[in-house]
Amino acid sequence: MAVTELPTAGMLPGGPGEGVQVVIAGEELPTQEMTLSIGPQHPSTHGVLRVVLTLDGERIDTATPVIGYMHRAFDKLSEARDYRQIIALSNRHDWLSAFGNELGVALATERLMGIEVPERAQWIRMLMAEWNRVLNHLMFLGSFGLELGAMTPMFYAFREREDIQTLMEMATGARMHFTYCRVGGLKEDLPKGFLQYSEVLVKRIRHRLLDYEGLLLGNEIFKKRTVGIGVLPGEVAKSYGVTGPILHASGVAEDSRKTEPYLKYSEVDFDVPVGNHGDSFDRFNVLFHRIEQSLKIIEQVHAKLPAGPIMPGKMPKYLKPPEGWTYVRTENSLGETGYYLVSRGDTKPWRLKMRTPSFHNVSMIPYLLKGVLLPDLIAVLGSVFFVVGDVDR
Amino acid sequence: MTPDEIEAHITEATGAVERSDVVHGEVSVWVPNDKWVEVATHLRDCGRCHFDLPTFLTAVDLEEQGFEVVLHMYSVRRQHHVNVKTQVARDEPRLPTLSGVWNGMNWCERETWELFGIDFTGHPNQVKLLLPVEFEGFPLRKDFLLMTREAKEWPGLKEPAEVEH
Repeated sequence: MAVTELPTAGMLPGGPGEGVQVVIAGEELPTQEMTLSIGPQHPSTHGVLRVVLTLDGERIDTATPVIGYMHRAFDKLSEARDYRQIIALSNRHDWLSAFGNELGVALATERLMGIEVPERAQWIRMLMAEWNRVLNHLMFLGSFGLELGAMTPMFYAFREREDIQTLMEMATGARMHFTYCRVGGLKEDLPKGFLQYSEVLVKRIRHRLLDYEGLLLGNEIFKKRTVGIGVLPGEVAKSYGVTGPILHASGVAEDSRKTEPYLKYSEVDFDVPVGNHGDSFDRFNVLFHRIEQSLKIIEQVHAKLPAGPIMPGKMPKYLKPPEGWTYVRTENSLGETGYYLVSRGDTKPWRLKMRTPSFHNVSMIPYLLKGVLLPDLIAVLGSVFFVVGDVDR
Repeated sequence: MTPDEIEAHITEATGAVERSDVVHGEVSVWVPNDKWVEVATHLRDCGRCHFDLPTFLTAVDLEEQGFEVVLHMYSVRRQHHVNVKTQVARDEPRLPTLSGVWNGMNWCERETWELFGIDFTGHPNQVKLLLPVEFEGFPLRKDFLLMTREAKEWPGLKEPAEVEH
């Protein structure tokens, strides 16, 4: 029995020949509203997010996320740093998709300066972005299972993540904060043996995804906890500015890799998985199938990767984008990461606004939690994929 | 619609556009403060524009010219973008709220209010979001100095071009 299907007053069928008389005590009695503060150090909130709930019995009346515990003033700092430093800075806020973040800064600066990025660099950027996406999604696949009581997926996910981190380390020298992008191209070319190991990993992870499928997607308990819980209609999602896998799960296939292809996404073949109901199960399902699509893209990059330089032949001595502004959006692991860059012709931006998916996803939580039973809170919060650093910046 | 068509359509349909431009294929339209809500509502409801996804709202400090508030919108159905901008005065920055037009504007406006000090009149819950409650000042204004850099210059090398090889 799913938690939302609480018995109503009346007779419940019991053992042979007998039933159970159910009386709901609160129906005549006045109940007192209770305020419950969850977090900021609660494991299900993935970091320091605090949610203040008012409860009517077991049911959540209002939920108010309290954020800002990790606010590190990215916007202000980037007005005091030059463009090379901002690439390293932008790595930090969403620590699960570092490459996706730095990519946006590089793209915005290149657009303002009119720099043409070499073909090979664009393909490698795409390869890295997709590996980073797999890295990110594996984390949420594992942790969502853990929050619902399944320990094994977490261990499996970290085993796979370790392999991918080793691969990324070969090229970038870092395991989490890659800082591999440069304005104009990349820091270094791929090392010897990278592509061979990458090919091995695609096969290995694709094979191991079958385990996840059996463990979670086909798991009776997992389904009972997530199907029909936390339903988010597509229209509501859009009005909150929700993007990425959560929007896709609500049946809206908006993915900037498809609608406004950047890098070389127009030259590879992939699908955008969408859900039908927008519930917790759909969100998880979409996340799972996005990994498969990313692996598909990675395989195509292996086949199509051209030879050539990874930085333009001639780069300006100083990075000084001319006066102007631009908004560059990229489809990051958790949704649309965009940079609104205003330049006044200096080595530092006049204003750099970072638009992060997690901020908008978390702003939607009050809608999703209203009327949900307290035990379902974890199933809902775990399926709204967010990174607290990405919320607070 | 192409960027130029969007620009022309918004100018014609709302009659409130002060100026507009298209750079890098990105459309900006500037509207007066008192038409802010009206234009945003029109862009949401108009069948040709159909801007259904408010991407972000933020502000830019223009120093003596005040602040420029930027609202970026995207249409999932039509797959086009627009930036609606308006300028607010520095001494009394005030703008009507858009939280009734889109749910997502609630947090965006709270953030812009605490970082720039722009008052969104009619906002249901204009309290601190990212900053501590007792924080004073509006950090993203240009006159709010980053004290560490004021006290001490950046200790590292400043530009690769300055390094002697």
